[in-house]
Amino acid sequence: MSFLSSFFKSKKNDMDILQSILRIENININQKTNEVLFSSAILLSPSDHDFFKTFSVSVNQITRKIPNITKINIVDSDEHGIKWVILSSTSFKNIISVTDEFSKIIASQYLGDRMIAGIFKSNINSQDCYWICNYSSSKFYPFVPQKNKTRNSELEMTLGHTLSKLGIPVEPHGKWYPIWDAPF
Amino acid sequence: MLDNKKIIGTDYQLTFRMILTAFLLLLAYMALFSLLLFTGIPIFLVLIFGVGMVFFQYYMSDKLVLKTTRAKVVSAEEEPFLHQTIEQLSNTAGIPKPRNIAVMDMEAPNAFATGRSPKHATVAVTTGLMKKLTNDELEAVLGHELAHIKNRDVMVMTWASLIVVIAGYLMQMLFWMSLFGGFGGNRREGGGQAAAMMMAAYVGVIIIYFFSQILISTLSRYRELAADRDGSIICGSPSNLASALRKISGQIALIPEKDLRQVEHANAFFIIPALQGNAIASLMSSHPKTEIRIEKLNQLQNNYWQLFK
Repeated sequence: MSFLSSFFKSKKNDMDILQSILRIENININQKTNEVLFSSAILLSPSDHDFFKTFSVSVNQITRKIPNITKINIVDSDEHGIKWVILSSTSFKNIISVTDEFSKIIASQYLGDRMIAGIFKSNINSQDCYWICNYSSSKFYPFVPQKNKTRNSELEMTLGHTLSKLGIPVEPHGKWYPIWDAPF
Repeated sequence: MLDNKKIIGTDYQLTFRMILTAFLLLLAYMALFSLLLFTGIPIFLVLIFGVGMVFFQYYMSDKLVLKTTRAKVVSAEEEPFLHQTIEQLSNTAGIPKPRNIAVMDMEAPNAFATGRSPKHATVAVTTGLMKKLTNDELEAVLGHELAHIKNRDVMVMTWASLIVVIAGYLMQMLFWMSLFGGFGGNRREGGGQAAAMMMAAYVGVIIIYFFSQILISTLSRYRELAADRDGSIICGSPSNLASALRKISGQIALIPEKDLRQVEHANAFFIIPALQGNAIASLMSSHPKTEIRIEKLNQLQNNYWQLFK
């Protein structure tokens, strides 16, 4: 079972699931195909494992195995000591498969428990929106940050409900934890 | 208001669902009366009792609810905004201004409308609702309550629940009969057959009771959706009602402020499956899920409201 299917515990395949999410955005993205870089990020909590000791090298080794990655950005340690691997690609379709591949390789190295979340960035009505997959609960939720660490909760509620309707397991509202100052 | 309604049109899907529910309710009535005929329990007596109970409830609903909720009827001098808004909205809805406007001293944000007819209606709101909502949102909630009055929901729901009253009464009667008389099975010749018949009737009444409860709750949810829609037409803004519902439901207040990275270590304990919403509880709920109501209102706002711009 692939990364996203296990995330969503859904009978739909990965592409269907994320294209469902894409549909929520009124397909603004499609108008700009091949002009915009689509990004996702994987958040990792470091441990003593060798993988984290040579983090940049390890990540580069993995990404060499994955085609379609246009750009990789590594944040070695954010304000919470969390490592970010930010992946970019020229199409939304690619970013899904790239994130999937990357996560599978990490998990295959017995580092699945160090993965905190997978995040996909999109834009809805000119607002940045993050679709966060919480690895520990295998559920999804939207996060729409605004200025001064406030969030557009009303839009999040609407998006969350839309996710549920698409058959995607959604976190209960009490677990819609923000991820402030995402570096992408 | 009527013009708005013409432009927006009817929600045929909702109307069809209400008709279907009413038809199923009719079948439940027929099943209940067949059961009464089968067991020889006099229908006439049962009907008099049931209708009497429901009529009392229907006729006294406003007084009973005011008393039980301890709502205080307020004058236009005490609550000028409530009175003015309700008067304006009533005019728009084409109904008389409700006889009583009341306020409940309660922190929980809530509102209700009751009364056997528009002339004898009562609209009540809590002090918590007035504090939490903006004037526009409060107006939207009042529009929703006035839509209940206009649609005569108190009458519809009270009389629709007659079957539950009758089936509930029969259920109790048969229970006590079984407890003290063993359905007559031990007392006379052929009593075994009579006991089996009564036992079958008991089971049948229980099934009808629960089936009717589900149907009444379903109908209630549809009436709520209709009131959301009609209330939006009355006050002219579905988004204000959607916003009020979000505040009233308290869902937004549940969203945490702590960063996911800070709670990451606690995540190991998140193994208990999240509450998924009990299916049976949903069936018995008198109100639709807030998300569904908000979604319908958003659709109304997006799809139709541009016509008024």
